[in-house]
Amino acid sequence: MTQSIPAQSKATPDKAAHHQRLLELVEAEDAANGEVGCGRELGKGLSEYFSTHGVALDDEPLKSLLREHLGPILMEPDFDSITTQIQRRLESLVVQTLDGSSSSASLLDSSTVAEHIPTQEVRELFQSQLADFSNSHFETFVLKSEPLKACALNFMNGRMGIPAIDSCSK
Amino acid sequence: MDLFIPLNRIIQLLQVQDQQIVDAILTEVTDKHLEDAKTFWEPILAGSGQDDEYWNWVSKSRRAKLLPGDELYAIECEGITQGLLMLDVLKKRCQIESQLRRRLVYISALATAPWNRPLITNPPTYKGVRGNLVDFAIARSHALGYQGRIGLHALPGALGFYRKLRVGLLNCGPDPEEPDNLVYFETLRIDDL
Repeated sequence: MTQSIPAQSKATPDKAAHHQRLLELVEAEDAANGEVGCGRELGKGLSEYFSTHGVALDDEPLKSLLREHLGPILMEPDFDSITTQIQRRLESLVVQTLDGSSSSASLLDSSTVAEHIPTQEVRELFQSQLADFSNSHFETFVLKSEPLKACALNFMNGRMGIPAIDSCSK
Repeated sequence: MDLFIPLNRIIQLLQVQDQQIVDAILTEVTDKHLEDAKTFWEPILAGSGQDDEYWNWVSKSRRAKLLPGDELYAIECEGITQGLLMLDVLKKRCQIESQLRRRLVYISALATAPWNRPLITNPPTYKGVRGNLVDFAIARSHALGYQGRIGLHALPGALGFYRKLRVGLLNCGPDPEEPDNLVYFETLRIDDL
């Protein structure tokens, strides 16, 4: 469908606005003398880029792990929702362990939180950030969302090359 | 909150040859668009010296499926892909101090077809492709509740384009953390001040 550039008086206000905007865009493009746009190529340097940022996407087991444990979560475009869902998943894993084999007392007696995550792979992923939490930390950790959100956030950020936030540092 | 905006969107481009305004479609990338880039764009770009000479949109698409928050869109006119856009709606945050770490839509890659570039084809076939893609990124940002904030690293020759775009992009200067020291632009929302 084609239209001539209309006289302002004959076009509807909406169309006139669209045409006016198009003319502004064209003017801006002319100022760039035909340059393409923005962005840089990571294609050939992708593995190096991921390596630099600690993202081992070439590692098949990690990819499988992410797909298995975080796949549905990663489809979620809301970052807060991601961390909330990770928090809930961890809590549910802890609860499953409690229901299955141990009492809350033994849980609180333990020296680390990570050992209460029954899935080996998830435990390993989070262990470095969770291992040094004491019993008192654990109460805060499970009952108050922010520290866990921070840890989950750091975990996700670490995978994406975003600097860690302080609230999860030990 | 509605996280998605309607696709396909009808947009307007300027057909340079006869100065007609024509309708085009902005839509999510399909295999056909990637195929167009490979079949029609790459042979023209090869040896052109353009910044996107070695861009591989198929590879970008594959990566977008792996990484959360990456989205690809295309502008199609007369059945041919006229522009491609890659957004990151999740992993980047604002860098301007007054809105530090707020969410934004980051334009990871944006390109118009080679025949729409005066440096390759003069006169070009269509104008308005890149501007429409940037406007769409802003619309996507609004739809996600990011208040229209976008960010991007401009290629050297495109600085004039972003300066003249009239969408509130602030030139933040060369980014020292960016390997090529590309200039970083970000939408400044003064209502945050």
